[in-house]
Amino acid sequence: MVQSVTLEMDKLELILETTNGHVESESDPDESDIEEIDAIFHDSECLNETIVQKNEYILHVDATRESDPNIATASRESCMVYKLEGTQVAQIADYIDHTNIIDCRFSSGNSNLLYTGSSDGSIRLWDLRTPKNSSLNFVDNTVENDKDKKSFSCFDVSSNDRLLTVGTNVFEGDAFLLFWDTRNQKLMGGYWDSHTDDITQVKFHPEDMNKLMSGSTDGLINIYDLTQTKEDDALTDTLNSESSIDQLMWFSKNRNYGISCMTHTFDLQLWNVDDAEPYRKVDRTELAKGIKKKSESYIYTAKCHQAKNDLMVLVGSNFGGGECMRGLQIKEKEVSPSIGFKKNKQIVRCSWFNENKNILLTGGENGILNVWKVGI
Amino acid sequence: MTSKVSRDTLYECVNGVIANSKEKKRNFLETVEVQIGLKNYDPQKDKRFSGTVKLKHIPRPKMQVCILGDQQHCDEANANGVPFMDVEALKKLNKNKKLVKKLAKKYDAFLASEALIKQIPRLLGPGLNKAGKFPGLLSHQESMTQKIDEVKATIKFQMKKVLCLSVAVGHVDMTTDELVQNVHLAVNFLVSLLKKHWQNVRSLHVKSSMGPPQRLY
Repeated sequence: MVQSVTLEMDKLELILETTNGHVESESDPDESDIEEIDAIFHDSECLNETIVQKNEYILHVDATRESDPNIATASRESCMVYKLEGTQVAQIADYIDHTNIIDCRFSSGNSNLLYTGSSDGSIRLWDLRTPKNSSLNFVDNTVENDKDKKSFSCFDVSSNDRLLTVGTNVFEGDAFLLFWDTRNQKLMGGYWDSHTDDITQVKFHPEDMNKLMSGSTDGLINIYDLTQTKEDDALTDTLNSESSIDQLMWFSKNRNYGISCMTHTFDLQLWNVDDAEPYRKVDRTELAKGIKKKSESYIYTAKCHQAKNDLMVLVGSNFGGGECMRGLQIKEKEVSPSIGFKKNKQIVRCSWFNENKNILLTGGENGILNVWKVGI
Repeated sequence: MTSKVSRDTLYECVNGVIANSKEKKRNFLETVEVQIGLKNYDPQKDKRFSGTVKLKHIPRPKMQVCILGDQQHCDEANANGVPFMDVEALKKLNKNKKLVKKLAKKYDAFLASEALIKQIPRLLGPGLNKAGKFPGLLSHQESMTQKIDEVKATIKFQMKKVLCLSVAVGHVDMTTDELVQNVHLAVNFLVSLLKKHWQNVRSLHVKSSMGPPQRLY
């Protein structure tokens, strides 16, 4: 008798879960009415909307920091370079010859130098003043056969432009971090013992070129001291997100640096390098609440940015055409509504922010590049 | 989920899995897995389908978790019959790759006290990372046995190049209700991660290791 009662209780609970939990809904309503939403999310002005390539996902965007920045966008198939002058976006290069693109990134010291990476196993450096050819090509020249080539998944260049690092997908059981000196294209070496699965992110410390972090679908954030020659000694810290890592960023925080980590299950974690656990976890449910959505079931995280004294997190909804995207401000542990993007028309997949000029670039699944003046 | 897989179908399939396994007893405990096939999804362009999910009922009860503990946690582990190691024991491994590998092989997962977890790279090198067994944190604010159950109840999933994914959600000795709840939870969670939810799902099956697949959707 007792047994059957417990079973009935469990069934009841299941029914309740079914009705209250992730219910398949044909809508994705806000928690509040439009007036309230408009009052708490300051709408950003859309300075420009350019269709880069219709229906080709823009997955990466980067720009330089001067007042008329160069902008690079990349889909899986192609990379485009533009210049922003006032509110006008003009194409300045269409010759970037690279496919299966994993990322694009400007040199921090020279706005005419652009790196592109390909999962085929090459990183190329382009000089926008001398078109048509890439000036440098970084490949793993320790392998001769194409079939032994590792598939690159991410890359970064140190703040002083000296060191290039690549993270790879798992190849014959190992996920590699590879290093090049940007001046001579020769592979310096690599690490392959610190992750078990595809490396999705590598990020140099903004100030210390000898400090690097990597993130992987194995859930670990590893921090290395590159002055050490052996991987055993170089690995200084491992932070376990207990999830799968989509994006990592160093952000400045009380004269120090913290780490923001976004997972593939749309949770955000904020870490201090010296801690044993995140000092703040903002899960998908809380992000949904933050952008005032009733349900979390369509919520995705676009990107985390350094703002003036805090963090700006872009959170959107996949519902319909993906028009809904809003920005949250995270100050210390406080999460609050901040900005709106009423003119957004797409699921945003990449963005770039200049916190001094409040200029935000977004790219996404409709192939649109937007330039926003953020209304903070 | 309610609109796409009815409660009856769910129970029917899970019962089918259990019945099949009883009919043809194997000499090991069969795992029950959910297989999900995707459509309108491009692994090159869409976000990775990867992560962890905590189930309601422990799918792998035999999982061995070892505590890398401070004094207090070691005492507690000892009292509960949980395997443990203290910082001195870890120091003895002396970053020796073979010994660390051996330790990693011996257990399915590790939990470490706050004081120890930060020292692990320095004490052991990347050995546990490489084995995919870097510990989770065990704090003094939570119960050890509860935390161990949490580790046992948490499953990883990751889709690579092929558009199907299989996740172990239980075993054939679990009750129908337990299995139904785990299947239900896993499916709901996974579907909610997909951009177009059910419009991204081509098929959904539940099956035991050796049994035939039962179609849920």
